Amino acid sequence: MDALTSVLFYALAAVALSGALGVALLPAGSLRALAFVLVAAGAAGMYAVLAAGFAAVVALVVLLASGLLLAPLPAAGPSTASSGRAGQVGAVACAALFAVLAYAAYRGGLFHGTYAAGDFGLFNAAAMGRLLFGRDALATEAAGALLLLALVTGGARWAGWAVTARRRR
Amino acid sequence: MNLTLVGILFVAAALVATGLLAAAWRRDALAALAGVPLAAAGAGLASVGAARFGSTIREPAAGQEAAVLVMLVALGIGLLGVAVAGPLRGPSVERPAAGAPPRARARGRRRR
Repeated sequence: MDALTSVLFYALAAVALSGALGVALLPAGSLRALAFVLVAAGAAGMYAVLAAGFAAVVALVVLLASGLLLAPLPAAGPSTASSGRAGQVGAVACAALFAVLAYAAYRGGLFHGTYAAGDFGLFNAAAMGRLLFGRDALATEAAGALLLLALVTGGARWAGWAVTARRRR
Repeated sequence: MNLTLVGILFVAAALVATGLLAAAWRRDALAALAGVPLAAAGAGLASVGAARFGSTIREPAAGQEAAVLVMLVALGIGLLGVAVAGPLRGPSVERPAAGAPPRARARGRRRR
């Protein structure tokens, strides 16, 4: 890969990581939503730089939807942020996990079998469709069932809440 | 400066660790859910990087497919978590207004 692509990738990585830190540490609200947007832009850009356009579009949609869903929750208040001992132990454990993963990436013997990004196209939709709906159709169906279950559960809860609110009125 | 698989895995590891930090740092379970898509984005990046630099010619898009599936599962977990424990709990958990009398405030605190 040329130097310009590398610089672009690391710039997008900086954007994504700063957004991820914002998601982790900022209180709920518009700042956290902005952090989600940064993560979405950075992650989708990195996927696109690595010639995975289909995954980039999916990551953009998923991260923006997650931001819309989770950024305002819970309502801003003193109980949202954890500064106790458990949170500090968790932060140290996350740092240790990062150190272990980075060491494994640095010392691991990885087989180098590169292919050119342009050979299969940026989106590579035909190959993705063959894999998702052909070879690994069961995994796709499981993911679809999970999404359907989540939507049905959310719809049922909302309907129950609406009926209860109408009765109380 | 050259982009290698090791660099990509470093960034992916940082994203995964930050996602777990988001889950560990928050006291509220709903706020902790925000770490799931972050960790999924990191795992997907590692898969895409492996597909870009270490794939065989037989299934070159398998890593991209794994990234797509991981992201979809992360979205499903987030949706399900909000649906099960989200703010649609009805009027009983609504906070009293800031100017409400002390008895209403105490009632709201008990309900929470």
